[in-house]
Amino acid sequence: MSSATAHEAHHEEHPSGIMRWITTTNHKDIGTLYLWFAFIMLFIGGAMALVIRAELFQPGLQFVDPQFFNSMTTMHALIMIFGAVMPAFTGLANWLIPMMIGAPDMALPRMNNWSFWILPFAFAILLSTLFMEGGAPAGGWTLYPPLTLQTGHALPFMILSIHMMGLSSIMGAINIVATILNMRAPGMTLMKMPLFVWTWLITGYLLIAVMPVLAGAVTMLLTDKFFGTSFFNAAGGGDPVMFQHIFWFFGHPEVYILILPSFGVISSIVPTFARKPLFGYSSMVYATASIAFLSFIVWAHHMFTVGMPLSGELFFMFATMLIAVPTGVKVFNWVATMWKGALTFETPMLFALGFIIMFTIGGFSGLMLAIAPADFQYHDSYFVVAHFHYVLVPGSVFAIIAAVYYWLPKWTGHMYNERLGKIHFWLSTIFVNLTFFPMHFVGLAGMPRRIPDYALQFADYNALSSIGAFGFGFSQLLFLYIVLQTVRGGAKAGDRVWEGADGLEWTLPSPPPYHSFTTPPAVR
Amino acid sequence: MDVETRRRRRIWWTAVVLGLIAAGFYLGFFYVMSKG
Repeated sequence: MSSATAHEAHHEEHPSGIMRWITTTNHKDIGTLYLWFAFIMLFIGGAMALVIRAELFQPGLQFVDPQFFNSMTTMHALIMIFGAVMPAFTGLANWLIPMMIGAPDMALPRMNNWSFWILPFAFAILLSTLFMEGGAPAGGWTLYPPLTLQTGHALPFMILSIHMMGLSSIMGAINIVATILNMRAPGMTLMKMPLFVWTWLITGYLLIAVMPVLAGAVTMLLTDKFFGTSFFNAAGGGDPVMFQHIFWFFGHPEVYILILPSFGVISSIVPTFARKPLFGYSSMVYATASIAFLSFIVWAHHMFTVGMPLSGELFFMFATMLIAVPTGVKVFNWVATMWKGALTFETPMLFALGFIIMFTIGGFSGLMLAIAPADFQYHDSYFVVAHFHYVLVPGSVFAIIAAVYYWLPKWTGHMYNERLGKIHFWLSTIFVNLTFFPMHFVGLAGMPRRIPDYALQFADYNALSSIGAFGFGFSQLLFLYIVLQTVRGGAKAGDRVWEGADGLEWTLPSPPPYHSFTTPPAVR
Repeated sequence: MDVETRRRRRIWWTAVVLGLIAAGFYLGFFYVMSKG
């Protein structure tokens, strides 16, 4: 351990103030930076969602012109996916993985710093497009040509920004995989790792495989626009549908990049508050790996309506339905973990239960969309918007919130306000359903997505969705208040914050020391 | 070679291999696309 001791001595004179955050190579500091960045982006992306919902509160055009409305849908998606959910999970990974596997820090701490600090610049560039001639990108986050190629001055800035986000994600993923494979304490075998570490290991591989594909696709858009190539230009012998194939080869695994770490979080929280070990640990690991494998062979279910051979539609339909099997294994295991457990319902458990129920609703609407002939009806309707928001908001976002409540006492050394946490949960749950459930109905009734105006018969449900969205958005200010209050003070948290908690992170003091484990812990 | 040096080498090799896989996916798509 001589080098670890030297490392610690070196860090004793780490800078303070702003330079601490700019120059930090510490996994906890970088985790904190990622989490605050994600929080800020959640509010920026959320404000854009509220612009969308304000416009859709009534039929007709009220507040914004259609071009700006389209910019809002595009930017909302890019910011929430790449700026909020992905950095939030990377923040959790930074904070938790070294503590969970008994390591002093991440494997590549300097690269860790670089991975984070690329992000504020990437998003500053993306947000700056709002002020450019021709406006921000408005062709949808899927960037389909030829529509996206009509973007004004913003196009090259958006493409640069996406490359930077991709670089950040790939470096982050390499760091996480290298940490998990090489930095585990003696005795911490792969099949003893907490599920959160397993899900992140698999997510890391997904990121390394698919982020370069997105980067390749947007580079080809750039060369088509500015350098005379015809990758996606039919007039030059290219194929615009090919872009959709490449994009969704990235895009579907991306969906699992956004959800697999959530599965890890829920698999940590449910056993703690059920006071029972996780049911079916190894089946959880194999289910995660199966979902990751299947995510590579289902991409064309996003584009059934472009026209493809019947055999292709059948393959992608059945492959997609197959994902329900490992996902069902997971939901079964969570329920079986709770079965006959000594359950208590603190805020993290409430969010975890909300996740299990509402993510499953999103999963079932996904199964409906997987049926190719039915998808011909649902495609590009609000039903799709309802589906993916159910898996992403009460899915991924609830899991992130659950994780913050669960580990915040460990991070800060203070307990959060349980009563306010519960109020936050109920407000979020009521409003999230008010926002997204009516979208199923308007979608099935034929309301298309990405439009600022709609037919009169959709008015009532849209008004309800808009009320729900404002309620959900403002409820998150309560979350901000609770987090700030906990960071600033509160009742002291013990080392093992939760009675039923199990794992190496709970053997450390709350808050943990600057370097998590300077001597490797004993793993049973 | 001590344990710590071996670990540092393994970390670097892991990072290099994963980086090459990422670069391979990026360049591979250009190669496939340029073949039409």
